[in-house]
Amino acid sequence: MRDWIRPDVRSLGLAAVGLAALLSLAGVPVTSAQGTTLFPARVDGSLPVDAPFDPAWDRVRPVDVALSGQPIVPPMRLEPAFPSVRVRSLVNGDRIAVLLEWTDPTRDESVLGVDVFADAAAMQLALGSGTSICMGQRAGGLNIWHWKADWAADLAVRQDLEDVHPGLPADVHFPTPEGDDSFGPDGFLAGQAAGNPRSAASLVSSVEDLNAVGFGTLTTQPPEGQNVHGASEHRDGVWRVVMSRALSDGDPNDAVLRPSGPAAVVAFAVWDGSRGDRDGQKSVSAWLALALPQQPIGLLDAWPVLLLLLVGLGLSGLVLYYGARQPAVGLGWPHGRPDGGATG
Amino acid sequence: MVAGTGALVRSQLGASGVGRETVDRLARWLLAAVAVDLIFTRFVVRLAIFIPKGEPWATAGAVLGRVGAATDALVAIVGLLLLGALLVRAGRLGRGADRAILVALSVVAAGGLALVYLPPSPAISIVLDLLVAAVALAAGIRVGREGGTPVVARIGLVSLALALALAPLGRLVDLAGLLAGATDGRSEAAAGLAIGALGQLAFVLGAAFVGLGGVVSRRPFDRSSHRIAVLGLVAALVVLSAGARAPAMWGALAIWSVGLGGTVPTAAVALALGLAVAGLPMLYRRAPALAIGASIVLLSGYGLAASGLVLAGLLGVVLARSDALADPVTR
Repeated sequence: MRDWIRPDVRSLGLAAVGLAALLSLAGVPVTSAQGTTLFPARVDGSLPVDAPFDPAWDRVRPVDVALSGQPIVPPMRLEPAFPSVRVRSLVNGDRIAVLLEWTDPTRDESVLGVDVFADAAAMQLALGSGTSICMGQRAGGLNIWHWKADWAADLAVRQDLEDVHPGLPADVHFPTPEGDDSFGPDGFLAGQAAGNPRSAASLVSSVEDLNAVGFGTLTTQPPEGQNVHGASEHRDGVWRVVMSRALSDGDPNDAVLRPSGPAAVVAFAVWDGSRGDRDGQKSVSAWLALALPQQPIGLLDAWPVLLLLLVGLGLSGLVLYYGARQPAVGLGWPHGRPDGGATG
Repeated sequence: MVAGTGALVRSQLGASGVGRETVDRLARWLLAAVAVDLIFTRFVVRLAIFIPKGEPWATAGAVLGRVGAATDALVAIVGLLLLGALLVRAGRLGRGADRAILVALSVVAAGGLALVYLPPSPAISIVLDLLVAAVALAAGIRVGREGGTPVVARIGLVSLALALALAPLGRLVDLAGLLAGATDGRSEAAAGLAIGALGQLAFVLGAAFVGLGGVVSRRPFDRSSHRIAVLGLVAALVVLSAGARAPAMWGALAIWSVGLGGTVPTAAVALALGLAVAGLPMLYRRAPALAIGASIVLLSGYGLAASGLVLAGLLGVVLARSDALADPVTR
């Protein structure tokens, strides 16, 4: 054994390893995120969830979130399509709304072509600790809100292949019994029958509510779980997208957003359809913290944190005092010569 | 002398040897913890995204994720233990400045723990960021003013301390604008980005100078020095090669692992890494406290958001003073 690994400190270190293992198994985090934090503005009354260019949004201080490419897995985007996305957020007693804004001269709202892709934006929220920014992992999943420009356009006026390609010859439909219209006017459509949300005859929102626990695991929530409202507008080469949801919805697949709770961990992504962005080809941000204020924020409103800071201050003073009262003290007493010499 | 005579020994000895040794060993535990955190949490776990989704690979990936989470917690726990040991020792021996730095560091640590369970506010974030910057600068200045250790390496440590201070200052500018009620935020965001870029530069320069200080202090070279130098060369070449062959992938790994966002060219990062890998073991023989402290700072990374890594990085700067650790040569 190397002499610097003395039994007392070694035991302390091993206890630390054991404690760390136990805490991680129990899902108890001991580290917080101290990076860039988004502070939603708290308002009374309703939020402008359907009006991305409402003046109320301009009174909210934005955070410019830097974007980078996604160079890890194909399809990759090595350079970001947009340098940043501006994020604003509003919250009232029961709802949160997040506004994403970015400059994009092209308005891409259709996917009705083999090589045609739509603009999109997403916000991912970590479900618990131990997740990965890259679509999560089994140790910690993600809740993803994915706004799609084509869905937003379809909500207004649904477009189908016949609208984009007039005179398109009809494919052979799956035969249905004579007089059976249970599959609707178009007959049996495999995508609709399989419940593919992209093939749905009608949409409830331009935002899809999803979950993921790693690459290749992106899963849409069931229709009753689709509770993220979307609104968007493209004006003067700028996209503004609002995604909003009730703070508390009881859905275990949804990220918990509590004004009195710890900050949520979030990240953003933006797709540029005209540059072929789809799937993993996107511009992405790093993790940020999203801290929900319980009320208009001020120094004294954060009294629990202040109290804990004071406890830390008091504890450090006590330990200093303890050290000052002891003529020879350390954490544990090394075996052998305490002056650092070899065991005698 | 046996352990059972501890009471007698306690009455006969000065405090410096015991406190120093405990701090010394906990510092090595912290060094090991941040090294494992870098390798597992910030590198291997991230690479686990390439693991196939079927069994047994999926389970292996999940296990890796758990190991990463445990390592993350380990850094914070060992950091808190080390902070306690430093406080006890400073209570007995420290000067007023040492005590003030450690008390401020305790508040930073308490804040990191509090924010796990409680929501932050802009004011609290500003207080914590200011404390992080103040601790880094104060501890760095104390190392810089200390004689007896290689001056180039000390310059490097001061540069690393400056980097640790600049990371929160970049956020602070933005937060100050928020508190002041500014609704645009573009100028504050630009200032924050500029400060962040300066911080990255200081971090890379710090790594290079600390390593260079070690290399210079080691002359004339012996056989083991040559072997270590070759290791540094290999590390530099690996980074250069990765940056040239897959720049985007290398960029992502650099951000994830040590928080370097591409401000500093890859060639400069490779040179700094090579010097650090070669120079720190050489510096350890001449100035062990400085070498261990700088290693902890470098392995903790630049501007990473996890509160445990912030605590570890600041402890690294505090530990870099020559009287922080026992001299291993004497044992």
